[in-house]
Amino acid sequence: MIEIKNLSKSYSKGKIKAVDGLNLNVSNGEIFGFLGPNGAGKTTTIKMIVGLLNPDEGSIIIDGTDIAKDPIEAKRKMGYVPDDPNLYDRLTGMEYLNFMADVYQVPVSVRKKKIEYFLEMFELKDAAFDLIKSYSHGMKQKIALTGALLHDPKLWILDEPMVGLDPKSAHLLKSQMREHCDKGNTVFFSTHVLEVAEKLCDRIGIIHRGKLIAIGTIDELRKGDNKDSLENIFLELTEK
Amino acid sequence: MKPFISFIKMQLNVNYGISALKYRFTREKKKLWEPVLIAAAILVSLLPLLAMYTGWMISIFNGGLQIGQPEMVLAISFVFAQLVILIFGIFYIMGAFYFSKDLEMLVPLPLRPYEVIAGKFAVVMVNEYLTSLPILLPPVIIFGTGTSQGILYWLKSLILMAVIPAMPLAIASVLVIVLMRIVNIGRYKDLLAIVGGIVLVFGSMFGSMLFQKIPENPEDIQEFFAGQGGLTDMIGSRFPPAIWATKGLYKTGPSGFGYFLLYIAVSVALILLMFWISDRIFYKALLSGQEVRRKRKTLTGSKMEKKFSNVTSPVMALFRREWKLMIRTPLYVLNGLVGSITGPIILLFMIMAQDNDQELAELLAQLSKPEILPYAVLICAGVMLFTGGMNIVSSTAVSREGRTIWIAKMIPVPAKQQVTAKFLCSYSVSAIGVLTTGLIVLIFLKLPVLWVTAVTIVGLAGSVPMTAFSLLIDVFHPKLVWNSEQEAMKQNMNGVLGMLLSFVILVILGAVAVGTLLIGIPLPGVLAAVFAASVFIGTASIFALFAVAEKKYREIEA
Repeated sequence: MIEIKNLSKSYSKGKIKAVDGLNLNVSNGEIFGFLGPNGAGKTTTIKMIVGLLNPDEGSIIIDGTDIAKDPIEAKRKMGYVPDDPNLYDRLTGMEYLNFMADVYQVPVSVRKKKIEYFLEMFELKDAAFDLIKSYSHGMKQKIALTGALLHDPKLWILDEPMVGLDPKSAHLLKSQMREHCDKGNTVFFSTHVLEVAEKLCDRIGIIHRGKLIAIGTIDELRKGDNKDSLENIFLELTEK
Repeated sequence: MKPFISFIKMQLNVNYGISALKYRFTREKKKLWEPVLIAAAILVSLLPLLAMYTGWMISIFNGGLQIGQPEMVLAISFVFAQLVILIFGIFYIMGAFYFSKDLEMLVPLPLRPYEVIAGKFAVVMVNEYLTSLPILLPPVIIFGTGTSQGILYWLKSLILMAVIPAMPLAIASVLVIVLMRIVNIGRYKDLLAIVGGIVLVFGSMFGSMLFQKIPENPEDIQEFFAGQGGLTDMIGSRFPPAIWATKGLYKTGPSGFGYFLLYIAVSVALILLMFWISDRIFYKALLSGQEVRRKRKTLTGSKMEKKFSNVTSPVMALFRREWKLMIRTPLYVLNGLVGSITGPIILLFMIMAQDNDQELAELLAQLSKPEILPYAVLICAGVMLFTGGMNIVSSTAVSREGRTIWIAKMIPVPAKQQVTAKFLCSYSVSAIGVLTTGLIVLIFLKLPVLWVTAVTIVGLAGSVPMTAFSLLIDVFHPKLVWNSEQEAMKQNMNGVLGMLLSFVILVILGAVAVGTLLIGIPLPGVLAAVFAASVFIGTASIFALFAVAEKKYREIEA
């Protein structure tokens, strides 16, 4: 589903390499957790995958479509939620969702079903007609999630999706992620919560100073040592 | 450093991007050409205007010299500068005091309300020098050198120029602070703030017109010319403190000093009054303004059903979003929508300011004369195009997206369609201005319907290249990092550049009109030529816009 080849991005005229020659493949039906300390290059990588940042080098193929060559087609296949969703404060939640449904050309019957389903699930039905300005961080996150999933994308790209969500919503989202992947789709998400990664992910990638320093299933990362927690593995790898 | 002084320094730093500039100069030298180029472009395009203004001031000075009142030039410029600052300051102050995003961060700081106001006031004041200095410097230099003034004059002029914006801005601030306290009721406070702001602005415009006491009969006029300072008093009656500033500057001896000190003292008193009032009521209005009403009502069944819109094209969805965001943001309404109908409203005031019905009847009779009509129609076209050109909705359309630009980058909608929606939204604002002008001309100046229709079509056609080129400027170099909506719209250089570019288009279309008129082509032919030129430049501008958008939207990083 995602093929990343030799991806690099630097800031301040090449002085700071945010992402350095990253190679990564994520298959269909997989929940992939992207871990790393603050400033490791997680968000930069994600932003390049969804087309918000332009790579200096390398290529990103989404389900066979090169994001650089056919960005519109590639974007149709994805649903993305940033870590801090800045939405249109002066639209109501419902107006935002209708807007997203229109730009993704979601038919009325489908959008109706989906919007009702997510609003119900996230307990946002009462707030849907208020301005987004009045929402809490978590509510904005939930509306952004709903908006990103209306067109039923094959690939979900979520940057720190659990931040700001209450325990119930986080639990529901995790179930949704599992369900989505069980249908043969893909979820790529970054997180700081190692427990979530440990329990939810089929495979994990750890990025440090722009380079992918480890990748594999939890068992592969443990290298056979069942007692070793992901936290220990993470600390060991990133404190080198 | 005292917290208060440090706060003012921080406000100036943030608003003028001083640290950001330093960073740019020291760390990102590659991009240095951009601000330099923009500054150079603005300077070059402003020079002809400044030269025209200086020439006009010199002729006023010479005229004044002949009747023994050379100081007239000072009075005119002081009135002009102060009225401009007062009228435009109202929206500006409203934005800075009540709609900046950093207020949420400032309120919890251990600062008194008047200290927060002082910091914001300092920023607005420094910005107003950009308006007041070009207006005041030429006449001050013309009068000073023309009447060989001594060192005292130059010293006083320096001090006066430094304090000039303070008084009109303090008046605007007091009006706005009181207004915001009054209108802060219930869920319609945004709307009330807009309406209140409009009433204040047009009220002060109309008030300054009524203030002016124009002598009615010849004897009075003679008296005005004969009496020392007569004309100054007459001109200054639009804004009386301008008389004190003028007399304080040119008069020598104790009376000159008296007026000078009076001006300074009243400025200080007004600022203190503003601080006093703000300490009492500023936070009350500000804090309740931050509250957002939640209805939290559950819709069921058929009511909920209606809320799902039918599938529309992405362009239409984006167009609707643009309009909704614009009309729900008080600052965008005040600077965009209201700004675009300011021209026609001023025209209406000028018509209404005719002292009596007889004068108006004479004016109307003049306008319908066959030899005057073509000029009246062309001036009408000029006002329409000027109105369209002053529209800053287009030149800030991408900038206004600010931190939500990631949505534009993420959605699967090509750049061409995204700018088409922005173009349609901005153009509809210009069209409102053009149509309002047409209506006012039709109803109040009673020009023939056919001509008004023809000229409106020309106005609508001419607004196309103006909108497209202004939008192109913003697509080329959007200002996406801002803390207040004010910064996105009013403190955005693209707005100024857009107006200047529109001014260039206006000059080109004007040249087409004058050229065809001079070679003896009748009015329909002249209008057809201007229309054809508009269509030609308009088509080119749209192609250019699409081409630039495709490239630049890819380059924008969110």
